[in-house]
Amino acid sequence: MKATIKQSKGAFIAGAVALALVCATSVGTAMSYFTANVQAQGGHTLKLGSTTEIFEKVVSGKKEVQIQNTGDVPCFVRVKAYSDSSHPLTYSGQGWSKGEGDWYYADAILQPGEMTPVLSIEISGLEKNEDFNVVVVHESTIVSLPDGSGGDWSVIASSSKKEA
Amino acid sequence: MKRTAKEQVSAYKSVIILAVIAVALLLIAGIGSARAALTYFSETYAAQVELPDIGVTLVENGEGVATSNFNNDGNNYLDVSNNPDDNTLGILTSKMIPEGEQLMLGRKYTEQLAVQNSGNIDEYVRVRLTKYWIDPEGKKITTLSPKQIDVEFATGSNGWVINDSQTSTERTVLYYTPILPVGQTTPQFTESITIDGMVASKVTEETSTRVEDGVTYTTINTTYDYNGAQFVLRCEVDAVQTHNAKDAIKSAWGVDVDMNASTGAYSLR
Repeated sequence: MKATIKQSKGAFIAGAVALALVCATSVGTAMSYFTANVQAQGGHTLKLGSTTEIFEKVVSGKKEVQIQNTGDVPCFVRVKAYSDSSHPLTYSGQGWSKGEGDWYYADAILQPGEMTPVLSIEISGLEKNEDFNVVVVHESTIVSLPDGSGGDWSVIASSSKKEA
Repeated sequence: MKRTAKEQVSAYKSVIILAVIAVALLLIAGIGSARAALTYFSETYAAQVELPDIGVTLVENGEGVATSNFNNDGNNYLDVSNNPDDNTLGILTSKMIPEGEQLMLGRKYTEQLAVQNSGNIDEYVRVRLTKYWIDPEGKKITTLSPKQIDVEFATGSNGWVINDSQTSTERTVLYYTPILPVGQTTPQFTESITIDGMVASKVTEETSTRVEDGVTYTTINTTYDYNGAQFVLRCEVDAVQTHNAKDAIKSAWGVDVDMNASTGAYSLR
């Protein structure tokens, strides 16, 4: 008697499985649609690593300053010197212009590896063999505008101060 | 609870009938498959009914960069791309920057993307466009904002619609709502790409001093957070058949649409 019940259960399960298989086949057909997919990607690296280095000589009460672009992107450069009030400073040099904040700006964009023209800073009122203290600061900023102009001085790529 | 002999015979009959039904159902399924296999090889059948070949191509500035066409003969997809190393993944922006120049901040670079129907059945298409930054090792940088990769989209009256509910800072999902007929190309869905000059304001400062010949040098180095990072623009195009469109779009793309019976165009719900 038990065997009969088991056989009946087995038959019901077999029937259910068969129905499920048939249904699954039908559902699969209904959900098949023609599709296609294509992909592409790309990009470019941003180089903002502007670095500069200052070179200067002191020749008979005069400082001769040059800045070199040691980075790999073009940049703008500016220079400013500080001294005490008894030793006023006078700037001169081709390719430099006085601009905002009394900084002296190199007229041309400094390409990687290039050196600026010489900026002379003359120190007045010096006594013979007198020690003096002049601080020279230079700053650079990357060329951030598409037409090659501009440069955001509120963000400084590199800044260097030398005391002598 | 003992069953009579008559009841037992009846139970056996039920078992046998159910087993026969189960076998019959399985046979029906099997015969269906066998019939499909036979007709597949039948020349007469092939001549009378042309099976659809769906296909799609991503077009960048007028040139195809990646194609995937379904091939019925081989029951597979034929993939072609401008990437010599991977025919399933085309290369974007390869001609964006003129030779000898570097990527410039704030410059608007032309990046006109469109989709062509390269198959032989009409279709609907959509695009998933993602943008992000990676480091030199190719690892995604999650601390840099995709917002600075400014993609100008061309949408509105040209058939392209941005689905805001699927769009984020990093990803934009666009749907071309009219039917894209065989051989036709959609209007472009992007115009240009610009790296926002604001990336130059994201910096980290470091101060150092050195003494040479009694002279003290103080140097403040400003490191740009985005320096050395590479922007990535990734585009995935999906195409689906126009037959039974509402269900096909729901099944393939997971979105609900309403169909315009007269034009064949759909609108997103």
